[in-house]
Parts: sequence; C-alpha cells; structure tokens
Amino acid sequence: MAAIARAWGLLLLLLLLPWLAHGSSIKSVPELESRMYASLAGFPCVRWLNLTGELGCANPGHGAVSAPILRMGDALDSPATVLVPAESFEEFVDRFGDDKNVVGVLVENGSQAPGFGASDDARFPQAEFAPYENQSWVWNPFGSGMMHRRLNFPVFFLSSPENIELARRLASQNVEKGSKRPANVVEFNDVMQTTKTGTPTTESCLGELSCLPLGGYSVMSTFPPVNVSHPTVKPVVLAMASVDSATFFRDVAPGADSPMSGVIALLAAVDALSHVPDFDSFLKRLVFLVFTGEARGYLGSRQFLAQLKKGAFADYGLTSIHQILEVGSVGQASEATFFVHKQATAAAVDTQQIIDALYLSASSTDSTVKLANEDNPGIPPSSLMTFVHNDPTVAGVVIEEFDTAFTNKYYNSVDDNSSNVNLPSLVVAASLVARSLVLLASDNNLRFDSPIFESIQVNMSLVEEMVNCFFGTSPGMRCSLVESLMTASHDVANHYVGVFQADPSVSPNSMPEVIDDTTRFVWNFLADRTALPREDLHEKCTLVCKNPDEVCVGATQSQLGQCRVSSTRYVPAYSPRLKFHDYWWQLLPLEAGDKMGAADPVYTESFWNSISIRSYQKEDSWYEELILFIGVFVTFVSILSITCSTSLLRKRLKRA
Amino acid sequence: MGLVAGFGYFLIALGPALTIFGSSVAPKPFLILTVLASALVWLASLNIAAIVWRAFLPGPSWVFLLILTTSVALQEAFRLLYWHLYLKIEKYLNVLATKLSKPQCNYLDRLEIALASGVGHGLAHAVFFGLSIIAPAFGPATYYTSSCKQMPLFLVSALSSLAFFLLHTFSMVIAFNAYTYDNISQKLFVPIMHLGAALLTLVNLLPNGCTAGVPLVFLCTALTMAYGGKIVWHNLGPHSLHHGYLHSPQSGSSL
Repeated sequence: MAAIARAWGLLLLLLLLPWLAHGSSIKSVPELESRMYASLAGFPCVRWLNLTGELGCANPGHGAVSAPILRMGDALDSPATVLVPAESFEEFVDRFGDDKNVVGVLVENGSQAPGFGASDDARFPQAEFAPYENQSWVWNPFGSGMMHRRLNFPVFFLSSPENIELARRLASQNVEKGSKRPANVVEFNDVMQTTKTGTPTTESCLGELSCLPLGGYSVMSTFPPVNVSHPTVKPVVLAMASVDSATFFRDVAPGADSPMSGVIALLAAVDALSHVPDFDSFLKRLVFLVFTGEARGYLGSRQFLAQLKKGAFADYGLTSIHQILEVGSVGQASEATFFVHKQATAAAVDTQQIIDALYLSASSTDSTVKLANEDNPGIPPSSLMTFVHNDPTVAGVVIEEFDTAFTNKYYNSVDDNSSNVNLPSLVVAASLVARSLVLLASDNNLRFDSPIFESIQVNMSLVEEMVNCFFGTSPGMRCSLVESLMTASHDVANHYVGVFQADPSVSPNSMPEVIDDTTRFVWNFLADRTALPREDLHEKCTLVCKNPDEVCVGATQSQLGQCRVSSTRYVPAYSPRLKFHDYWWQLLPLEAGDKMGAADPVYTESFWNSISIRSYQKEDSWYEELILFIGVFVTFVSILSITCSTSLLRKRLKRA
Repeated sequence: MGLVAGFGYFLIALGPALTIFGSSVAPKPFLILTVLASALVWLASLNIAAIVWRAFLPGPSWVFLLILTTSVALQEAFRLLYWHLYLKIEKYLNVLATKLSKPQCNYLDRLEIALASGVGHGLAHAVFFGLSIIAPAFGPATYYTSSCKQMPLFLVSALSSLAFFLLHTFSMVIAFNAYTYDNISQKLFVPIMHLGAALLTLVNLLPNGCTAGVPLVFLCTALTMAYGGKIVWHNLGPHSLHHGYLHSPQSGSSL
C-alpha cells in the first residue's frame, strides 16, 4: 500500500507542472453546445415564385442539408459546401449550377476590383413592361440576370469579415486534413414551405396558403395639404421616385444609387420647398409619390393607377394627372450633368414645360440638363412606364444620371451601397428638382430672379444624414433624423419590397409593424414637411388623430406624436392581378388589353419557419457506426462477464 | 447520423451499468431502493462539494486539483457514513427477520447490498458526469478539445463514465468487506484508487493527454476490479473465515 501511495504522490507532482495553468475548461453543457456549433450570420437567398415557376434558391428537400466546406477551385468530387468570392459567383453558377455535388454555397463579400461591375438584374430590367418594342436594348451593361435564376441549393451571402474569415479557415482545414475525419461542415436550413407543399407557381402556392405576394406601401403626399372634407381640384404635378431595390439575396438590397438616390433627392427637395411661403397661391398642386415594389413588377405605380381610376384619391383633389417628374438614379451624376428621358408619344407642350423648368433650374444650380439620346428606344426602366402604358400621351419625364445606359455599375446588387453615391450629386439633383417643381407649380410663371426661386436652398447636412441613415450600419436607422420621427424596427435599412402582410383595405397607420422602416420614415418625413404651420399647440397622439385632416406625425417609442394637418397617406402596393378576398389572396383573370397585367410575373415569396446556417465538425458515418459497434460490444461483453462470473461464483459456493 | 453515434456513446458509458442493474439489482426491490439511497448519498456529497467550490470557480486550473482531492475526501467520508447507516438498517432488519421467523442477513445478502450500493454510486456518477456531456452527441456535430485530437470529447467522457462506474461498483464491495473485517489495507485501497483515478482524469488536460489519461483511469478500474474480485472469490471459497455464515437456506431471498 505504501508503494502505491508513493506512486500517487509522484503523479500528483507531475500534475502540478505549469501546463495545468493553461488548461481550458468548458463550464456547462450549453457552453459545450455553443462551442460545437458556430452560427454564421449570413443573408439568404429565398424561394420566389411567379406565374410560370420558381426563382431564387432554397434547400432542395424538406430538411436541413450539410456538407464539408471547400473553396471554389478545390476539387468538387464529393458533396460539398462551396465558398465562392462574390465576383466569381455568376461564373460558378454557370459551371456548377446543376452539379449534384453542390450542397450549398456561401458567397463571400469582398472588395471589388476597380472597373468591376455587378448587377443581379437583367441587361434590360423588367423589359416586358417597356412601352416600346425594342426590348433587347442594354440599359444595364453589367446585368447578370442572376436574380431571375432558379437554383436548387441554398445560397447565403456572408458580409461580416469575421464570418468570412471563419468560413475560409474551416475550408482550409478541410483541404489540409484531406480525407482525415472529422470534417468541418456547414449546415443550411433554408427550407421553404412551397417545397414542402409542392407548389411551384404563384397560383398554386396561393391556393395552398404557402406563400404571400410581394408588396408593401407607397407613400403619397399633396403639397400644400388638401382639406379632405372640401377638396378643391387643381392641376396636379406628380413628383415621384421609387424606394425598393431587388437583389439575389433577400435581405441585402441597399439600392443606394438605384433607386434610393432619387428618394433622397426628392425628400431633400420637399424639405427645401417646405420653406417656400404662399405655396397655396400657385396654379398647380404638387403630389409627391414614393412607390414601393417597382423593382418586382412596378407594383406601387400600377396599384396607384388602379386606385386612381377607382377614384380612391378624390378626397385629395386627385382625379387626373397633369404632369410627371420622376427622379431616377441621381447619386453619381458626372460633372452635375443630368439627362431627361421622355417617351416619344408624350404630349409635346406640357412635356416641354417640364423640360424648360429643368433647363431653367439647371442654369441656377450650376448643373447641366441634357435631353437623352434620341437613339434610345424610349424611357429607361422607371415607374413612368406604368403611366405611359396607361396613357401614352402623358406629359412626363424621368431625370437620370445616365444617357443611353446605366452608369451605376451595381444596379440591383448588394454593392449598390453608400460608396456608390456622392453627396454633391444628390444635393444638386435635389436643388434641381425643388426649383423645377416650384416652377411647374407656378405654371412656369416665375421669373428667374424671383425671391421665391432664390429662397429654395437644399439642406446639405440633411442629405448627408439621410445617406448615413439609409445605408449606414452604425447608427443606421437609429440615426437622430429617423429617431426624431419614428422608431425603426431594424438597425439597418433594407430596401427589399417584402411581402404584403395585411388587409389592403385597412389603413396601415394603426399597425405600423406591417410597414417597412424606410417607407414609414418617408411617410413621417413627408407628413412633417408638408404639414400646415399651426399656431396653437398640437394634439398629442400615438397612431392616429380624430380630425380627418390631421395625421399623427413623429410618434416614437420615447415620445408621443403630434396631430398635424397634412395630406399624407399610405397607398397599398401589390400586384393589381391579385385581390384580397375572404382573408386571403386570389389571382384575378387577365383583363383584355391590360398590357402591364399581361407582363406581370405576379411574384410571391414562400413561407418558411426559420432560416439559418451553422458550422460544426462532423464524423464520417463509418466512424459513428464504429462507435455504435463498440457500445454494443461493451454491453455484450458485460452481459457475458456477468453470466460467467455468476456461474463461476455459484460453482465455488457449492464447493464451499 | 447523430443518433447512431449518440447511442454508441450511451452504450459505452451505461451499457454495463444497465446490464448489472438489469441482472443483479432489478429482480429484488430492496436492492433497487439500495441503489436509489446510495445514489442520493453520492449526490448529497457532490452537492456539498459543489456549493463550497462554486465560490472559487472559474479559477486557475490548479484549483481542479484541490476540487478533486477535497471532493474525493468528502465522498469517502460519505461512504463511511453510508456504511454506518447501513449497519443500523441491517440491525433493524435482522430484528424484524427474527420476529417474522426469517433468516438473518448473511454474507451473500451483504455482498448484493454492497454491489447495489456501488451501482448507485456509479450510476449517479455516470448520469451526472457522463450522460449530461454525451447528450449533445445525439446532435449532428462532434467535438474535440484542443488537448485531445485523438478522440472526441464524448468518447473520453463515455469511457471515463464506464471506468468510474466499474470503479465505484467494485470499490463499494471492497469497502464493505474492509469495514466488516476492519481490514486497514482494504480501507486504504478504496480512497487511494478513487483519488488516483480522479486525479488521473487531469492527465486529459495535457496535450494529447487523453491517450494516456483514459487508459490510466482504466488501469485503476482494473486494479480495483481485480482486487474486489479476489476478495469475493476468497470469501466464497472453502477456506473462508465466514464459511458457516455463507450457508443460509434462503440466502438473500428474504430481501
């Protein structure tokens, strides 16, 4: 016994060696599990459907899929998750899109090489909606058409450097290990309800309640506000822009230059116009419209026109449209030069009045306005297309930073971020729009040296703040400008249209949770800037006001809003091919002569439970089977040992 | 595939325990109660150790040495306490047996109770130190600690659980014998082996230590099993000191 004690003493000494201080310990089972599984924060591509089939991507079956991670270029001779640089993604899909060994793809965000362009949309985005024949025109030279493709494996976009670094390290370890177990695998949970229900089209998935139509709310505001009890009718000048972008990845659609630069310029112009006195004395009334759903079938503008025809805006004195000025992509104008695009069929006199207003404004803002090239087949992809379809003679123009093709290299791409717009271009565009609108409101009766005209000054810091709020990550939508008017539900703005979640006949003012953050900000901003000044104290409110002329502006989580006189409202934006009936969506038959309806793919997005990716180490199946065999063997040996020893002891007992 | 490996680890850790429980304990309700009582005593000792040491964690790694040493000491103290409790209960049972004209406890009864008490200690150890760690193995992932690239943490845990189950089971048999016959060397053997095996688990913290740590713990188990087996074999033999004590017409059945 003493010898054994001495031996233990020796071992104890051994254990006191300094290495002991370096031992890392797991303190709980949850901690063990968190070490076993590393969550990767990625942005998914999801399953979209249209009238003819599926697009986007998803898990192929009903459950999660996993495979060892490799980098693009490594041998793809067994099922694998492939880590692909963003600039090579299109090439990868072309080469391996149908390869059975591709279980999932992680696209790593990276710094793009100078001169490189990327656009997930087509070379002529939404060409089928064009009000002219030539649909082979290349408006978008960098268009890959990726967002219209269908992939049968999940794809996630990794944006944070930490996640990209982790994915690269796991892939490198797999390559170094070769066939040695365990492998680093990535598990994808991107299971779509439409896959489960086997409903591959919009019509079938709506029938099985496995999807929702794309849509949201557009914002309309009249300036000056209209007395909704006794509306007066004036000729209306529409100033419009669109707010939504679309990319291959659902939740990364910054759309900084296209189309958000137009929204920023329009909002800054409205801010400048709000300081113009006696606007009510002008001959025409301005109506500001910020559409959503335009990148996915011109949902906002089409629904707006459908409702206009039904007389839904008669309360706002809006029954017809006199002139339209659309603000397109204006965030990167070269040498402050903007191009005016118009359709050849547009009414000559009224359209020329808009162009003249722009010329005159340009001369006072150190910018240049040029008519777009006559060789262009017509207007570029824009909401104006909807209005031209409705009335080919409508007097309308689109102001853009480009002439014959997009200068935005990242149109509808994850890279169309704040670095893709420049402040001077936005400020000049806002100034140009503000002055043109006041001219048009006055029926071009203002003199060049009018004090009103001179009083319009665009607030540069407001433009800068909007850029930071809409495209920044910190503080992003927690910026003071947004916080002063509303409380965003997400830290970072995403300009994907989303799905229509409510009954479109119900005003969404009382349920802000169904409205996108940016749209809600636009509504509050327009309501705030277009509201009539009031001398007495405003009534406090949380969501709505009793007076029909008033709206509740600036209600946040920390402060009550104020009831202010403003004609600002939400306008539902969803495909006019759909009808909400009996609490669900129905596809309407196509009306004769409805060209936009005929072109409408009627996009829907599949339901899902949860979407996630995680990585972990996984044993080969033979090793797991070996462990089970050892377990069974140990149990069997124990049964055998007990039987034998019991028998031996019994015999010995008998002999005793 | 996680289920396959999960069941494998489960069987490695608890297969023999379930076998012994099923064959030697389950048929006799009193032995099941003994297992539960023994497990409770073991858990009580673990609780006390945990309450005391919780205040010092997380701390430097050398704290583990102190934790293991004091915890083993506490458990051995509880083993002694358990033995005294057992003696009292046996006395009452013998009185009761006499009143009911049943035979008193004999050596085989005590051996079975010792075995069941060991199983109780071993099972409690396996459930709390083994099963809780093995549970995540039923998921799809595996896990290797930085110091052991040779086998997954779950395999180390399952093997350690097996080793400690057997060690606890046979230790109790030796301890009962040692206390019954006041055998000093046997009395020392049990805590020394227990402490040795506990401290040898720390070898797993060394780089690649699991390749040595796990076999060394099994060595302790093997020594304990051999020693325990030898004692039982000897006691059941023809030259046993308690020869007459063995032969009872209904040995064990009264329980």
